[in-house]
Amino acid sequence: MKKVLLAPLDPVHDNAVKLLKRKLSEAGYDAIAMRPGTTSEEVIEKALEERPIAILVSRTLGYKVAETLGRLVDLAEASGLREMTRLGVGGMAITKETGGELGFDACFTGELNMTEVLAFLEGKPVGLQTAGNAVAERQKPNIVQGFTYAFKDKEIETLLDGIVDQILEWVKGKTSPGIERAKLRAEMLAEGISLRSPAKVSLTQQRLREQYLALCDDTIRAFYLTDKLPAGVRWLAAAEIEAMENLLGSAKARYSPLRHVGEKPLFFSQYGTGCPVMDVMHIKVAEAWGVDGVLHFDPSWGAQCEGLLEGYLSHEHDGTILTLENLKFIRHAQEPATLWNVRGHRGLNTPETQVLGHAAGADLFKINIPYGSTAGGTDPQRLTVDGVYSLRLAAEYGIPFDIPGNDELSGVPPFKTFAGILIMVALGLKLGAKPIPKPLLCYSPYMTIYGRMDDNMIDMNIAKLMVWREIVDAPVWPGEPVGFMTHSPERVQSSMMTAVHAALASSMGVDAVTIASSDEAYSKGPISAAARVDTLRAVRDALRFQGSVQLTPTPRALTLADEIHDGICEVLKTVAERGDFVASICEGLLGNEEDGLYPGRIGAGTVSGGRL
Amino acid sequence: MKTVGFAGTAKNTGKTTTALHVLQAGKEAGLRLALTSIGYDGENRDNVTGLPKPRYTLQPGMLVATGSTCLRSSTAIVRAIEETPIHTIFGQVVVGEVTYPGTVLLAGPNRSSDLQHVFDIFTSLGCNLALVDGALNRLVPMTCVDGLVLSTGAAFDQRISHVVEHAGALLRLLRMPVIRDEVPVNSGLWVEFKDQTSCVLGYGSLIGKNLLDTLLRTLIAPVKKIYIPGACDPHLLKLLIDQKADLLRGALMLFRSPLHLVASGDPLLWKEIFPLLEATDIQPSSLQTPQVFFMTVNPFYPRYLDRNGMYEAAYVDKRELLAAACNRISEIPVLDIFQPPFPDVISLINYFAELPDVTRSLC
Ligand code: B12
Repeated sequence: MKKVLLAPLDPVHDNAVKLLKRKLSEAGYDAIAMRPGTTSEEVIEKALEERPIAILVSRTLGYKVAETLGRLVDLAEASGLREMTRLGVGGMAITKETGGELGFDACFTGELNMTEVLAFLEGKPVGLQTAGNAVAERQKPNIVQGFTYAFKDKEIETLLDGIVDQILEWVKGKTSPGIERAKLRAEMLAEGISLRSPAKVSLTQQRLREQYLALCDDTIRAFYLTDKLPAGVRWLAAAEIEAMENLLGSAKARYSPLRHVGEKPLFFSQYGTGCPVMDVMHIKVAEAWGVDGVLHFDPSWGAQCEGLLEGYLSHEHDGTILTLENLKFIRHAQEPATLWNVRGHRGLNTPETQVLGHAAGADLFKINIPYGSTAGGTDPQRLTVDGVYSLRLAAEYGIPFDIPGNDELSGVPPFKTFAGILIMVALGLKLGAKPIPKPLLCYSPYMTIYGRMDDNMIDMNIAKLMVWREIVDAPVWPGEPVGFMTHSPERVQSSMMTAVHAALASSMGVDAVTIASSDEAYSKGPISAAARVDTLRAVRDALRFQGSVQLTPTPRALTLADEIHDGICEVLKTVAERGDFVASICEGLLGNEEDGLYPGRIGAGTVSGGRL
Repeated sequence: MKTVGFAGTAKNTGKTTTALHVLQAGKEAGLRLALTSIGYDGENRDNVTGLPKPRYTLQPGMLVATGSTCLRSSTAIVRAIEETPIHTIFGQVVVGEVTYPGTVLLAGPNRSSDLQHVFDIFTSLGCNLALVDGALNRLVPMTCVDGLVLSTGAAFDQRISHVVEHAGALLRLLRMPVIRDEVPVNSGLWVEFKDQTSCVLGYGSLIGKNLLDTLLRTLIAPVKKIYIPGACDPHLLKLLIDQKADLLRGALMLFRSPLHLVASGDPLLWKEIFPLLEATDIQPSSLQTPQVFFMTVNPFYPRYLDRNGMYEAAYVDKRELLAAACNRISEIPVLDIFQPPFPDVISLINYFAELPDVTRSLC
């Protein structure tokens, strides 16, 4: 057995040494632990007797570190030990700089990472390289794997069947500028043509360009025809892009999952600072702190404008511009195992977004017709036609799509929101796509106004998750983000609320969770990277605290779940009876004015063909 | 190629300032210069006192050996020439040439064998003078440099008398006579008795009570020569002499390098051992030692402020410090690089390096 000498060069603190001794023994080493208060001389003397392959020193007290530890390294070299014994150091008092200055071979900072320690003992370099290898081996998770999508509630299944058939019947023969642009964009990608290609213009390019621009708003047309950028948008300089490339070439995120036990839930956070470079930095920070996936948020005006731009573009307001170049740049920077969602669920460019997202390597889409066609969104007719087309694309590409339930933020009760999500689930399934419902865990206006969460926030949230398990065998991904409307401008408070919501969701066995940054609700501009770390850290420790403990729903949670379940059935019945999905949205069956929902108006009158 | 190590008796004694001074002089003399470190040097501010620290600023054409991750945090642009197999906390040690001036973060090899490897690369690249930044308390890797420049001052101790006393003791230890002698290579502690018999122990250091006991049991006849290649605790050496004075009388006590002795005990402790050796007629010598080219003294020290828990820059009387040091140390030049006289440091390095080891005498 290989010997390792463990030395607490500290007057009292040796708990880490005892822990290391157990872990090293389990890993098959003969770990010899010395007592606290041991001097450098004693350590060297012992090492000369035992001839260990390594001496691992632990130091906790923060004063006189250099004086206490510096001696050891010089003595080890003077006594000839260093040629066969490697020296490692760790503990609360140790930084990489101290370790380097003192001449140790390896320095372990932060929490104990046995993979690193063992790599060191096996003579492998510790740190960047080891971490890099571990990252490369990580497989990209698949959220939808293993789900049958079988409906457990047959009544709901039947109702949904009827509603979906009506939708599909209604969209037959209809199209929109959004769909036509998506087709042109797909053709351009197949031909390797972009609208701004400076090279010799071919006939095909000319045709595609003319057709595309005819379907665009003035802002977009001006961009292609006169090089005029929309307000607040600028080109990224080549130097900025290259600098990023160099930076990323040298930095490797060390992935350590947020989960303490098990493989689920996966954790997602959204980005969309406006600047792709800043986005990449945010993603790298989030990855380094354990996120499993990220969601791309585009500018709100992008959804309200017919047509998409091209090139590397930065935007000074919230939301990062959807262009193939921006998307590829951002994807390229991510770790291979990071899941990437490109949302395109509410705007006039929904179908084209799926085309670009697919071309850039998206793993997930986000489409919700009822939500996207209310609350300042797109015209219900338009989004229904575009949404169905987008779902077909998702099915064709084999890319699952998630369905956010954020209409609750306007004041819609959960059962109405969930009914809308269920219609999207059934519609997606019928078209061959894989849907992921996203019930929102939040303190919504409905809850506040009607006092539904006055006593606690657990029962209602549990009920909102339970009901999904009762209805269909599908993945469940609470979002977007969890704890919305419980956050305050205080970062500690905000992180705390995110963490308890994430832990609650985790204990309910959900498949993924979207978390906010601690300043997301109050950032007054792009959120900060440090605030991302706040919540990732908080969630990690909440999960550590909770482990594999499962919650048993209280009687009140069960009652609430029944209430929501019944409510869903009622809503679906009325929608089915109405026999017109678009009309149901317009008439408020999935959320009315009292619930804070108004049908969207953007793109009204742009659907053509079929029977209107 | 000449190699010079810079070592300080404590943090803030002016080691980096001195090395920068030599770098500048070397540049003016048209030498091809190289820089590396056996520790880590790179903060703009001292991490304890928060006071500003000098940084290594390198000019185009200079060579540098540092950890690969350090290159990214340097403002100088360095063209990598050779990746060494040496791993450090800051990545693999890379040898490169500065192509654009700026600061560099230094974290080089930390063992003497690795330092030697880097020297070989510097030589192959036509370097004339290689500078090695030392680390606090760490001198042993310097066994392979041609010579040392020592820095001491008020940051070590604000009592001038104590600073010069300590410097004198350190110098005395470092200027132990060097003899060329046949000793078994890579051996343990080795004893040759006057009756021509000899024995080798399984370990090379005199450190810890157990090892002393084994040695005591071994010494059963008058000793002609005792060779301690590794570390040697001065307290144990004193015990050894106390108990075996009769057998050790007149013996040659051979160490591999006085740097090993500095690592094993405070120079002021060693200072007490020398009279003891003399009284027993034991002759201490070493197989090798870097020369000490010169010493610098620095009046600066960080003064702790009770009222706010911060530090401020403070100074002892610079003239008094320099005068006291020159007075106590006559064997080598002592200078304050910010006070006259301003000797040519390059010639100081060259002149002494030409002297053969054996001509130096015990001071
Ligand atoms: C337990 C403890 C004690 C116990 C120690 C018992 C023992 N046998 O160890 C007792 C009660 C004796 C004690 C005493 C003192 N303590 Co105490 N103690 C702690 C405490 C609460 C936990 C430390 C601990 O054991 N952690 C658990 C171990 C497993 O974790 P760890 O040490 O952080 O190590 C982890 C990593 O760092 C890593 N690691 C550590 N070493 C190494 C080495 C290698 C090679 C590797 C790979 C990894 C590695 O692995 C571990 C697991 O992740 C901390 C406060 C805290 N919350 O951390 C204070 C703390 C360390 N103590 C402190 C102090 C000041 C003292 C006293 C000096 C107080 C006093 N004035 O009397 C005295 C010591 C008196 C003396 N004689 O000098 C301070 C240190 C402050 C500083 N910056 O220096 C702390 C931080 C408390 C505080 N905030 O004031 N203490």
